[in-house]
Amino acid sequence: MYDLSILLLIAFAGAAITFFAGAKARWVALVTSVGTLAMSMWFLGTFLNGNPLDYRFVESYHWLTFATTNGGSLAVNYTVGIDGISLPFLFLSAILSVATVIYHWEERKDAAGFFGLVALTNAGLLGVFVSLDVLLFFVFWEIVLIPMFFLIGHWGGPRRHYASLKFFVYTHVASVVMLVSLLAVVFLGQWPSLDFVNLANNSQGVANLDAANILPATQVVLFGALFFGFGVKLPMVPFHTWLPDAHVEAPTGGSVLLAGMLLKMGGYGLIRLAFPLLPAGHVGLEPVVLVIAFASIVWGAFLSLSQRDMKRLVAYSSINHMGIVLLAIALWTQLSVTAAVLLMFAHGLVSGLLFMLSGSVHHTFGTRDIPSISGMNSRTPALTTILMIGSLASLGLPALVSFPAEFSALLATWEALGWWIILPLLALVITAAFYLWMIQRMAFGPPRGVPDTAHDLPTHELLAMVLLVSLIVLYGILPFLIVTYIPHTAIFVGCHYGGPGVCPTSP
Amino acid sequence: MVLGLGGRFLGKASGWIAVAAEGLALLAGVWIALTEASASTVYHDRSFVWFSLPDGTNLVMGTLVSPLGALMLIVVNVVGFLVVLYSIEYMGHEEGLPRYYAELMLFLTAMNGVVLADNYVEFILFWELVGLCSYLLIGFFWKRPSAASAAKKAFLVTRVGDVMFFVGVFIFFTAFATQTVNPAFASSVSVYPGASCPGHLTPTWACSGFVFAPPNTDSNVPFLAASALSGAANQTLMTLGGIMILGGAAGKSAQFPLHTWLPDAMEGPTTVSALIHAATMVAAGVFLLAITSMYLGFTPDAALVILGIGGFTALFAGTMGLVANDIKRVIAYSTMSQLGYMTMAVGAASFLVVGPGAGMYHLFTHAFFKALLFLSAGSVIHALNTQDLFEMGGLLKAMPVTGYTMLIGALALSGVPPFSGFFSKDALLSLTWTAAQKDPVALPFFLMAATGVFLTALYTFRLWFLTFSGSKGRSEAAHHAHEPSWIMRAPLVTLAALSVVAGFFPLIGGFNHWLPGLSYGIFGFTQTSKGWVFAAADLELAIASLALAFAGIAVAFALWGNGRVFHLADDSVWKAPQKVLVRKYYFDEAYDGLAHGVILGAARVFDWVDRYVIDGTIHGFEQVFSMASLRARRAQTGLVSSYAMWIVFGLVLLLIFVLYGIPYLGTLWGG
Amino acid sequence: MIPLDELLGFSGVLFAIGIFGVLTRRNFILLLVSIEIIMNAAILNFIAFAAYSPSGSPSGQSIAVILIGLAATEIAVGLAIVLALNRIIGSVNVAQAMELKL
Repeated sequence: MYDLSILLLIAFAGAAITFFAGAKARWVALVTSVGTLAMSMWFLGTFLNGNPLDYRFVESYHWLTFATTNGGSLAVNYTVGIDGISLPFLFLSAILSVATVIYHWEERKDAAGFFGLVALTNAGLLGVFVSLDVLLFFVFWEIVLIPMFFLIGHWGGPRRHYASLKFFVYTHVASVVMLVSLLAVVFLGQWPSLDFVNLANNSQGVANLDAANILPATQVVLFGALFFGFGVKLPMVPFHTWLPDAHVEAPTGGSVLLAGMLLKMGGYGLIRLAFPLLPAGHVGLEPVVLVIAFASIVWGAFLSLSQRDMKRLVAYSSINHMGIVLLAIALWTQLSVTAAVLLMFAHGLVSGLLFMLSGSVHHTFGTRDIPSISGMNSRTPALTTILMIGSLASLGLPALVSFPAEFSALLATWEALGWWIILPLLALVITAAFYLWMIQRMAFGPPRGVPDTAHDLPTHELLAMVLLVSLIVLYGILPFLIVTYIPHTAIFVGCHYGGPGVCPTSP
Repeated sequence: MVLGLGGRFLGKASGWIAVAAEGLALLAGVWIALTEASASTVYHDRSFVWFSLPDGTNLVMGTLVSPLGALMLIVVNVVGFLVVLYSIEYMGHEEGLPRYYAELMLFLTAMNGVVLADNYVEFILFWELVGLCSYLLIGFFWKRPSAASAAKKAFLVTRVGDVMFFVGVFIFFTAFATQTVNPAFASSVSVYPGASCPGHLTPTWACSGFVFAPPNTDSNVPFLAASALSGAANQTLMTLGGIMILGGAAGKSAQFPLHTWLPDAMEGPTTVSALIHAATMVAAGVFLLAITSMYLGFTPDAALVILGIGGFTALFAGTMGLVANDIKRVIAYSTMSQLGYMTMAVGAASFLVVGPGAGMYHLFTHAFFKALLFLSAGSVIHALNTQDLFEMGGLLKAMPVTGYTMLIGALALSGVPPFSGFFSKDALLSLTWTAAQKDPVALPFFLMAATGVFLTALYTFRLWFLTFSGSKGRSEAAHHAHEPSWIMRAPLVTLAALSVVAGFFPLIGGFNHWLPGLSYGIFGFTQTSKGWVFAAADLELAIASLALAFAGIAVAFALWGNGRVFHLADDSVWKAPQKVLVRKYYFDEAYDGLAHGVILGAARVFDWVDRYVIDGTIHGFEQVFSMASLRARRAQTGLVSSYAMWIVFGLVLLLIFVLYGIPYLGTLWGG
Repeated sequence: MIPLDELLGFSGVLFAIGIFGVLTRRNFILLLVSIEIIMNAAILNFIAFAAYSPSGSPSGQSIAVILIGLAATEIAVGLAIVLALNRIIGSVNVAQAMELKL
């Protein structure tokens, strides 16, 4: 009954306690994140009982009501609930924060603050993925940005101030644009409340968000604004340059959450809000979205190839992968949206692992510069092995989690766009090329730049990585464990939304 | 169903554990294959849904023991077992043995998965794992930069093929997804009694590629109704589909133009080369074409392209084999060339709309003699610690077992009866000849392949004569060579025996349906529904190819036999072509140029644009704003009176606007 | 009753004097006095319009009362600033108090 509220309460209370827990902060953070993980696993376990189209674990409490100028009223509610789209993210967020806390177990610099911010990020993320109300969504959305700003700005690398400011300005401009256009949708669409689902009707999959009230031309403008708001987060070319800088300067845990979860907020927002709310808008802007998606895919792949810094390489490969996500979302068929969610889930695990790896490489060898490390297999076999698993997962090897996702996404692309599939496929080859080249240069060859004092992974880092690796393998071999959930969403039946290919069976 | 055998074991024991595990796998594989041969139905299990997509596509992981699969099961596990056994001694002194055996076992497991897969998605899954394992094993000596680079190259080149394979499978999705209710197809599925290919589970493409012409009929009409796929647009798409599948197969089977990784893959341990070349990696490509051949029967254009690529590669690789000095590389080029024959045969079979038996027959025999050649080469390398042919010579006395078994392998490879290679090569040549008679486009490729027979004999015996003939060795190490222990000799002898007898395999009753469509030419005899019939034309062909093979051997003997070493004179006109061959037709340079020059260059340019144009624009905005704010700051004099002055000034402006501006705008807008 | 025009004219003159004072004086106390004069001009306007209001609404008068209160508080705060300024820079000349700018 109060499940989601309890989840949020655990997360936020845990975060608050962590800040003041001093030396015990890491334990509090661990318990908190494990608590949220346990809750989300419980959700996974019980989720499938019920009508596939219903939101589950819904709670809604009235908060206040505004009178609007045209004589109507607008209710603001605390409304939370999850469906098949948000559940994987809930789980992913909890997993990644557990892994982050474990990875940073020996963090010395202002540990209480660090763990508190990590826990707060997790709490904000969970909030984003459960909230079904525009205002609540926006509040959580902003809560996520702030701890990340401090994580980068205080625990980051040498250019951390620049990077954190850049991150904040970019994402904040995007969120302001997002808020304004969301409110415009609310007012122009004459919503009775800020909830973005009509809970009374959702079993028919019908939302209350009557886009018919908004002129198609207006929808195009609003969609453009929303797309910008979420797309910067994704990130899409050409608004992507904050990402490499933020990643390079962020502490490892920050990067893990940033790549693993913050990017997913953009994709989630597109799937949950931008595309369903404004059908005429995304139809109108489809060419633009597709061009940007293809540009991100190719741009990310090529740029990764030219990077020397391992972390930058992984960051650009994220742009490439999120480009595929954007492509899949833009096609807006059941298959492609499923693929997009799956791809984001996979990318969360894999990029989290890769950022941990680059963090470990950095403090094992003192540098992340790929050409200056060679033959690290001789001193650090465990690190090398995991590096290979991570890279192979990222380039989409079967039996690892990205493969089913990429396969579905490519299949959807083929069905919708035909031979345009060549571009993502080209990117796939280049992805393989830069990862293998990186491995060849760093892991293999005669040892060079590898000090004799270099130790293999410390236990806590190893543990965090093994956690992610085991999930990558598990979901790679048994992908139905996660795919089963995704179609449990009303988004797929909203013929009402009018997107292409959304309306397969029901009238 | 079989084999979750990869695992990390500790210490030297890992080798024996792997031998035991692979032995079990061998028994299981043979048992499954024999069961298949005697069973009246095809074992087909589709119970495990891997995941289902919301558009109704179920991706199923199933097990299908098809006749071709049964054949492959035997090939993979026999060769695999012998190679693992051989490794015990050959690899005994290397570091990282547990890793080696774990990767080897994963390799064999994946290959078994490929063989038993029942649909293309599952096929891709194991196929990529095969690629991964070959990547790991080629790069086994990871400290050598050349090994690491070769491994990367193998993965990337096959990746290009894989990407094409993906597209091919997607084309299958679109081509067949609409035909789930096609009655012609539905009836065809039941030709195998009990072959369950439930149309309601998946689009039928999942089954289409794996069901073959029924045994013991000479109707040989593929099951898909041609009418269902006719129509110009569909035909183009299907031809493209066939070519895309060829792309995948060409990547894995090292066919032109994706062949460059194979010679470099010799950086791996010799045992791995044997496995890759005989049973696993490269065989997967031909196997893919074979299981797709029924589909290819509808796309004669694609079939001809396959035939052409195969025939061309057969000759092309053979020429490069002539000049290689590394014992393993010579064998590698011979593999490439033989794979060309197989590809050509599958293409010809598809073109003629018969089963791919001839190509698979050659794959089957080739697996044994090629593994034999590699393992005996390994034995030589083990004894001499060199791979250079010109440092060997006269080894027959010191290593008789290795020498004579390798001779058997060489004879089989050259196509001399009664060794197995003769039968299979003859079968596929006569098949191609039939194809060439039907469409003259195939004729040049048939001639290339025929020339290839001569070249095969020439370079094979060049290799053998340089290694074993003569009275004494050409290097210090060659004088002290000795035979390895029985652990290495036993696989050699076994494989030699198999190389002799494997050719007679289709004659054994009950097994011939494993090679569907193999109805042309076993030494002039043709298999029909009425039994074996003599056909003079096929005999002529057989004699011609035999003559070519003997010519090759004779030339090799003249040039290199008895310890002679033939070098081109410096002023010879052949020097320039030789250089082209040694440089492998400059393909490596071209591809490196493409990779480094074009792609990496483009990446650098993109990076520059990203840093200076895109980010520069952002920084430009930043500069404009900070300049503007600096200017604006000067207005803040700090003097209260000046602020007051501005306030009054503003007020006056506002007053003027309210009094005159608004009424004026009002008249302007018609208010 | 005094005509509205005269009241407004007087108010305008007061306003102009005040503005002139604000713009020309450098002495903080004289500035405050000038501001008071401006304010009184505004208050006078309110009262004048209230007196001539056809509905007899008391809003103008009440606002005038509030404004008088506001003026008093403003003077209090202003004088406090004057004293503080005098203590810090030893003068009540606003031209010397320019430290608040960036």
